[in-house]
Amino acid sequence: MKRVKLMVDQLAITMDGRRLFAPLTFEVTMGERVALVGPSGVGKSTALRALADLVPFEGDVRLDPPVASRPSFRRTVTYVSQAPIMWSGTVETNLAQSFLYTSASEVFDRSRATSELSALGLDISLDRDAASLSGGEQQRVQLVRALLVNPCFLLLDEPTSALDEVSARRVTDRVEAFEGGVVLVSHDLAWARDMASRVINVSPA
Amino acid sequence: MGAGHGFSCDQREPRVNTLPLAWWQIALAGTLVFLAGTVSVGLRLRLENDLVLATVRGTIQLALVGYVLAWIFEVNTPWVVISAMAIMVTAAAKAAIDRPSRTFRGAFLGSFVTLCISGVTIALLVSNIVVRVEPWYDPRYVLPLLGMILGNTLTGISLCLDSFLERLTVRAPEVELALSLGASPWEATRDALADSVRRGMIPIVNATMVVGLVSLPGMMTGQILAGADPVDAVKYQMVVMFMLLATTSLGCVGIAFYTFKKMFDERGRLRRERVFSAA
Repeated sequence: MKRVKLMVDQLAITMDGRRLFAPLTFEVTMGERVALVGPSGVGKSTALRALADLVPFEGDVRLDPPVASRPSFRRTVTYVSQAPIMWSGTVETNLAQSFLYTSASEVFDRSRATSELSALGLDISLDRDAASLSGGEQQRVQLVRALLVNPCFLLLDEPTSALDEVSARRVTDRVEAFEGGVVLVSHDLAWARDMASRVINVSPA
Repeated sequence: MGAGHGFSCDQREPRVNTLPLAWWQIALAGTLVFLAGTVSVGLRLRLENDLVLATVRGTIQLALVGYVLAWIFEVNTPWVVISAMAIMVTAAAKAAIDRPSRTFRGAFLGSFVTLCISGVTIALLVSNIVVRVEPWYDPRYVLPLLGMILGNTLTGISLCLDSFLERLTVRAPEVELALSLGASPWEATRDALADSVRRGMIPIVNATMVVGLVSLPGMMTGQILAGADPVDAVKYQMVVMFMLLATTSLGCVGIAFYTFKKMFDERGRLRRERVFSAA
């Protein structure tokens, strides 16, 4: 995995004329896990979406060294939402879809997908209809979906919110084993502090 | 109207004879609306007021348009015809964006430009290259052709726009999911755009499928009622059918691409806050 740094400089978001949180400045290096903590409604999840360049923001979010395009940026800094989002179709459809957006050299690897699912406690057929999975299963499938694109940074929004204790432990282990950088948001402060190598307070503007 | 006014098209084909209708005969037909009113009262549909309003409004609009068309045919100058076309396109553009439940800033402009490019261009091409009217702006041909085009295309644009905006708002998370996995805006919305264009074209495709079997189109019916040879009427209807398929598809594709461009910013972010309720 190439060495990249995620640099955030004076990140601020205004919504409906209201500044959400005090400007954030930090850097995330490969292998580092950073937790964004703060009061409910301060905009932690929105900040995470801004890091993936999915919502408008002020300030600067960039990679060092930079990447060529916005799609490449989002593939390098991959966002995983709190509410699972599944495309219609099978689990394989959901896992393989992202390979339609990249060069021909990157192809979907069924055995790796099965292995990643298994590591998260999901021994399910890739041919299963994704809509038939439970919320917790879908949450893990979407984490695997993000891992398969080989991002340098994972942006995880409440990654264990729909999981039981055993499944949450598996997710924690997998995220800890991830070689790239992680920025996460969780309502579970104890879990976030335990998981993260660094905690950043997101305070109201 | 029109007979004896010396229009150039009169030299190309003889005017057909119609059974003229007196106003009392129209009033007699108007009593049929009471039938609809009776159904409404009987079933408590509460449509009586709307029926009266629609009937009065429709009658006044048709009467006015009859006199306006008679005046345009009488004056018969390019600027008058172009002005009439501009008014028709403006009204159609407005109607096309009024029907969807959602809209965005600039939707009217997109609808207007799309209708100009698809509707006006094809109306003029068909009337001048296929039908070969003289002069090129002959209102007796150009305006009815444009009217048919606009009526069908605005329906297509409305359905397409409604569907596409719904996909970009209600199902925005799916689009953003694709973006977050490295899709370009085009890759993230291509399926939604194609589905929306397909939805916009369903009415005209369905109508074309059953034309002559289930329904006799209005223009053809009108010509036959006016005494034209059915074979000639069918020939015109074929031209209209091809024209409507082309303009509706162009209109749907045009508004879909315009909306696509408006919904993403320069960094390829979906800007769903740009969509708002049309109510």
